[in-house]
Amino acid sequence: MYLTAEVTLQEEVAKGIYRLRIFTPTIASLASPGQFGMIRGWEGYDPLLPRPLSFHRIDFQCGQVEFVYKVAGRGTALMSQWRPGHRVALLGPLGNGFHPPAAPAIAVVGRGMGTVPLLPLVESARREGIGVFSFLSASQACGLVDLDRFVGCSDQIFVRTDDGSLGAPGVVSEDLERVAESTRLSAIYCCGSRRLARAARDLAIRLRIPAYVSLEEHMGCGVGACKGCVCETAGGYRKVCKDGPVFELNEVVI
Amino acid sequence: MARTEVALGPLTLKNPVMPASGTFGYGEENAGAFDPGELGAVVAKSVRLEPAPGNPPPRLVETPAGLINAVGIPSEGVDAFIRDQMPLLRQTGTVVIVSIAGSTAPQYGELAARLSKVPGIDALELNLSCPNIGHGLPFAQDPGLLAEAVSAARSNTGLPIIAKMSPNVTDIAAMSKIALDAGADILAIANTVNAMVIDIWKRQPVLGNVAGGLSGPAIRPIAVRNVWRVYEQLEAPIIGSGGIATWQDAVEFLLAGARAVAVGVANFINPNAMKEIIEGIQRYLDSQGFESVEDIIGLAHAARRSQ
Repeated sequence: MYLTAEVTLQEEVAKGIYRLRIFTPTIASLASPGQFGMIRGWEGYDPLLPRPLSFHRIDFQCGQVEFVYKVAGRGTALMSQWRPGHRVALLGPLGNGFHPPAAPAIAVVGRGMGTVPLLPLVESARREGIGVFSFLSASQACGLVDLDRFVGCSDQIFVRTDDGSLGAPGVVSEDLERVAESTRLSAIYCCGSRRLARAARDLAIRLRIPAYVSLEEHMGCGVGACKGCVCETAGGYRKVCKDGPVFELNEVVI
Repeated sequence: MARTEVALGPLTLKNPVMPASGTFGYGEENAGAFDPGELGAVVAKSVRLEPAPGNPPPRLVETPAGLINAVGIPSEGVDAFIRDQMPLLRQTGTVVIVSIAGSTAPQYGELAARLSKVPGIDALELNLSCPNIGHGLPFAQDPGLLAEAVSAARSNTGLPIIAKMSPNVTDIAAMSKIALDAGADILAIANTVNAMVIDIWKRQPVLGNVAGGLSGPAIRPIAVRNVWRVYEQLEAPIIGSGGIATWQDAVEFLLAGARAVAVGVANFINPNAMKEIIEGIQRYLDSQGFESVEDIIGLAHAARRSQ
């Protein structure tokens, strides 16, 4: 769907990290965890392209979707100036989202902004009574947005930060390994760290469970036409926007 | 209501608006904002003789009002294209243009021969100007290779041939003349402009292929001038392209001498862009009292001559 929609909330949740809420009942009713939207809300041609953002929250009942983004360049800097009532052009939902979670339990492994697309996944697992084990890391505690929601949806949660501002010293890949070996998991989902994704892949192969990764890439069209956002896979280049952004972990080269 | 139907050499388009190759899908790779059948023509992503992976990522980098791409024409190869893509193209119900890219001049002949046997193709566009493949210059930058590639296609097809030219030459009209003499029917003016970006922190080029082709509003005045120049020098029908994002931009190209326009990056900025351009051209013709889009083609030249 390509439509215009209204910003209903913009707040800086940590330094340089913003929550953007948009009222769009159509897209909220169609979106699933792991999918993304292309969003643009400025006049003129500089920046030129819309920005791809993963859904952080999909609220079908209120007709709203939420994105969380870090200001990284001119596009996101402009985005952070939008206030409630500002109108944006939104194309979505796009891409293949996460494989639907299955019983008995899933593990999610995210680092920093990579935890953002995992939230709707754990929320949907929770709603369906599927167990959730969360393994989250960041350079510092403020880089983990909506940690309370992850806590509320998780049977068990492990948090590690590089600066020790939250959680005990250590790496979540080891937490994941420990839990995965003693708990029956239906799948592992990763986002935000190649190192963690490699660790999850090796573990998933050993335990013979499926594992998925959500990838990020600069995009042109967002719908597969321009072939600008490819990643390397066992079967050659594949389009992050159309074939992904979620891929089976053992299929992509990371 | 003014007529938007336009003659483009041997082709007749219901309106002068089409996508630039590789920027707009006609099947699943499409934002679904409108029916591609409403376009004057659909243009498929360039197809190659054999499957090719394209360039390593990153393939795109944004610049002020522009986008540099070094996609490198990934292709499923002509056999898979005919099998998988042609049924979708035929279903669009508008003029179908298939873009072909050879690695060597004779490959244009082989591709033209193969595709001429396939029902549902109205014209072949020769992509002679992709800056992102091969080691030497693109065909459209080398007079000898250009003539050879177009001749190879010409002697293997009865379909109308569109030669997509490069702006990266000293005189685009002189190169276009070579393409016409070798048998091209229509000129596409023009492809992307050579460009690159260096990451000052990594101290290396951003694109996987080092350099690429710049498109978008940043190059529009360059493209307008190229269309103007070719229209002035040659009789051939022209498809204008380069940074067209609005109906006003499209009208500017028509006034410069293009008989049709191809829209590229604007499809990424606004999936509805081409539909809005078609509607805007219609409103412009009606409000300015023209009976047909044909009346404004090259009109800026006439105004200048009468002064």
